[in-house]
Order: sequence, then C-alpha cells, then structure tokens
Amino acid sequence: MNEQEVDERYRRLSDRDSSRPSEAIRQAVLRHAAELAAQVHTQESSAPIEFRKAAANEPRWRVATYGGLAAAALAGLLIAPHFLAPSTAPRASLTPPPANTAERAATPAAKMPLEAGKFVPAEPRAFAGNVRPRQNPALGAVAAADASRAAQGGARENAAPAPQSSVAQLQTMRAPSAASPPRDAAPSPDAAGALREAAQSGNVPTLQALLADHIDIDARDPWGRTALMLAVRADQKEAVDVLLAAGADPNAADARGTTPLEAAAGAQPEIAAALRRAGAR
Amino acid sequence: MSEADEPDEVLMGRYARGDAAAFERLYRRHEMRTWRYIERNVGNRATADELMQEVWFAVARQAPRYQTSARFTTWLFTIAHNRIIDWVRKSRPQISLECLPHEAGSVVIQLTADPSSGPLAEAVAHQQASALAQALAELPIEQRVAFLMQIEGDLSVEEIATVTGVSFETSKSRLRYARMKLRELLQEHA
Repeated sequence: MNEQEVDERYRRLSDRDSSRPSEAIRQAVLRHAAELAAQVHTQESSAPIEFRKAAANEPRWRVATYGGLAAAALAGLLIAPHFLAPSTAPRASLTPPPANTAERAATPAAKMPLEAGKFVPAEPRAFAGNVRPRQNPALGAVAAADASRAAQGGARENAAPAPQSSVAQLQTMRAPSAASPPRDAAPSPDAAGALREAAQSGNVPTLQALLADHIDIDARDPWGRTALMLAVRADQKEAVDVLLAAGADPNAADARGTTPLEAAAGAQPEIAAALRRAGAR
Repeated sequence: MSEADEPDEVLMGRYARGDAAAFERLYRRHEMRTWRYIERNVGNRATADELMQEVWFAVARQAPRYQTSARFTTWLFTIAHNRIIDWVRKSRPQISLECLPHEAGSVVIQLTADPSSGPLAEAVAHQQASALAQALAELPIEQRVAFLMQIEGDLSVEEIATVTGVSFETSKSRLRYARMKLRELLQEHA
C-alpha cells in the first residue's frame, strides 16, 4: 500500500463516518453569524466618513472640501469681529457694563459677555474618566443669580424683562440644565453608557470609579448588551473580572438571545472560564 | 459563475459586508472537514462540539479582519489548530504538546453500514471504524495534526508548516511518517 492508497483508504472509511456536529451547534453558529451581520448593517447606516479611504480623497471631493473650508474660514473672519470685539461706544450706550462682578452675573444681558464666541455643549459627552457635567462658570453664575432671586421672594419676577440678545436668551434657556443635580446624586442613563464604554475599552480605573457611583451595572444599550457583554465581546479580560466581581449578571443575554458565554467563544479562554466560575450557562 | 461556485474568499468578503447567507454557505461547505479535523484530534465528541462552536464563532467575529491574501481554508485551520492547542494546554498543562499521547481508541468513528446490509456488514463496518480510530489514535499528535490538516483541509506542506510553526522539512517529514505509520496500522487491521 503506497501513500496514495493510504489516503484513499482513509477517505473511503471517512466517507462512511456518520458522526457530525450536533444541530444545536450549527444553529448557534449560524445565529451568531447572522447577529454579527446585522450589526454590520447597523454600523454602516451610522458610520462616520472614513477620510483615509481612497474614495474620500478623490480630487473632485478634495476641491469641494477645501473650497468649503476656505469659504467657511472667510465667513468666520468676517463675522467673528462682530462677536469678539470689545463693547463699542454705541453698544455700551444700550447696555452699560455693570459696576461689579455680582451685578454682571445677575444682569441677563451680561450673562455671557466673554463667552459669546465659544461653543458650550448642551450635554457633556461622558467619556471614560469624566462623567460629571462640565460646569460653565458663566452658567453657574446665572444659576446662582436665579437661586438668589428665588430666595428674595421673586421680587424681580414682576419687573419687565430687559431686552436680551439671542445669545443671552440661549444661555438663559440652558441655565436650568447646568443647575440640575450632579450625576452623583442620581446616576443618569449617560453614566450607564459611560460604564459600557469603559467596559468595552477596558478602562478599568474608570470602570471602578463608575461602579462606586451605584450605577446600574446591568443597564443595556439599544441592542440589549450590558457592560459585561461588551467587555466580553471586546476581549477585555480585566474589565470582565471587575464587572463580575461587582455583581454583573453573567447570564444577561442581549436582544438576540446571545449570552455572554456564547459571546466569549471567540475571546480568550480565560474569559469563558471566569464567566463559568461566576455561574454563566 | 453560479453562487455554488463562488470561492471561499468571495463569500468571506460578502459576509464581512453583512451578508449572513454567504456565511451559511461557507459553513455548510466546510462543516464536515472542520468537524473531522477537530474530532479526530481531540478524540471526544463533546469537546469537539465545543471547539467546533468556538472555531466558527471566531471565524464570524474575525471576518472583518480576514485578509484575502490568505486562503480561507488555511485561515480556518489555523483557527481550529490554535483552539485545539488551547484546549490541550488547558486540560493538561503539565504535559507538553510534543509528547502528548492520544487517548488510544478514544476517537469513535461511526461508520454507516449499507442500509440493505445485514448484521454481518454492520459488524464489518464497526470493525473498520475501530481500525481507523485505532490507527489515528496511535499517531503522535504532531503527525496526526499534519496528516488531518492535509487530508481534511487540503493544506499544502508549506501551509501546514506555516500553521504549525515549523519548517517546511519538518512538516514534510511529519506527513511522511504519519502515512508510513498509518499504512502499517491499517494493514494490520485489514
């Protein structure tokens, strides 16, 4: 029997082998694959422009991009002096600057004398390591002034409102959100999002800081994924350990029914072992 | 080119762009060869099921990172091989991979007898099953891995050398020794 005959004999016997993977395995694999494919579609629909891709660097787009940027810069140069220039004589005559800082804070027209040209985010993005809303000093002063007015029995409430610039009106509208209770008092859904972000990126110090804030550890994203699930999928062993130690549900399946243990199949074996130790099925 | 003829690499590309049907076709195309490679290496059906799932989950997850410069089967068997090594190390950390003896007779190959045949044919089929299982079990693991990779995965000597991290010559001699040993063993049981 030569080498080819060995192979043929093996194949002959092998072809008659009736053993095969169980149907449950096949179903689990195909379900998992379909789930990941669905995520690709979701990501594609909200994917940011990838500037490194060749298509985004075609000459015709470059012309449009640079032209647009140049026009925006020119417009900015023309408009900016109107916002950034110090109070001129005619404007000063309309709204004379207050004598001291406290008055400036309490005067609606002077709520943002130096902030007019700056962008103030309506809702601070909760990146890992910073979940507290950034307090804008000017807005804080407005809130303090509002509180002060309330304490004085609303003496000024009946007074006719002073004319406000559009910027000042905008700041007045934002003031209540800046004066709302800090996140430490009642963790918001954004804190849960930050927890998931930290878990996914393996940012353990932030994860631990957020967990100390009594955030719902099993809060889910729109796809039903908990922080633990995201940490498992991202192969973040240390984050998985921290979350399990903090009491994350090891069996919290996502919206498609995939459990963390199933998701761990493509990750480090230690992650699956940690999940099993924590009672994952 | 009909859909059935689409190369593996094209199907992987389609799956990476979100086509789940392409993955299913790929899975069905390679299901049995992956299964036999795993089961005949680990010699345990339950473990083979577990590893089979892990391998294909990994294929699905890593699809976006798959480079078409590598043949799909080479990539697939690399994943399967790594999972088997992980399993061996996890289950028997005190034994090195090089000297791991296969559990003799633990590979259970279930040969299907001709439906029209009687008890005698069934007995013969069973005997042949035992012969193949026994022969594979008696191969040193590195030879068995190389042989199964080539016969089930259709990998070249060079590809086997790359996947297993040895030189071309080592890989070639493992295949030669594996076939020599199988020839002896299968003749004994013939």
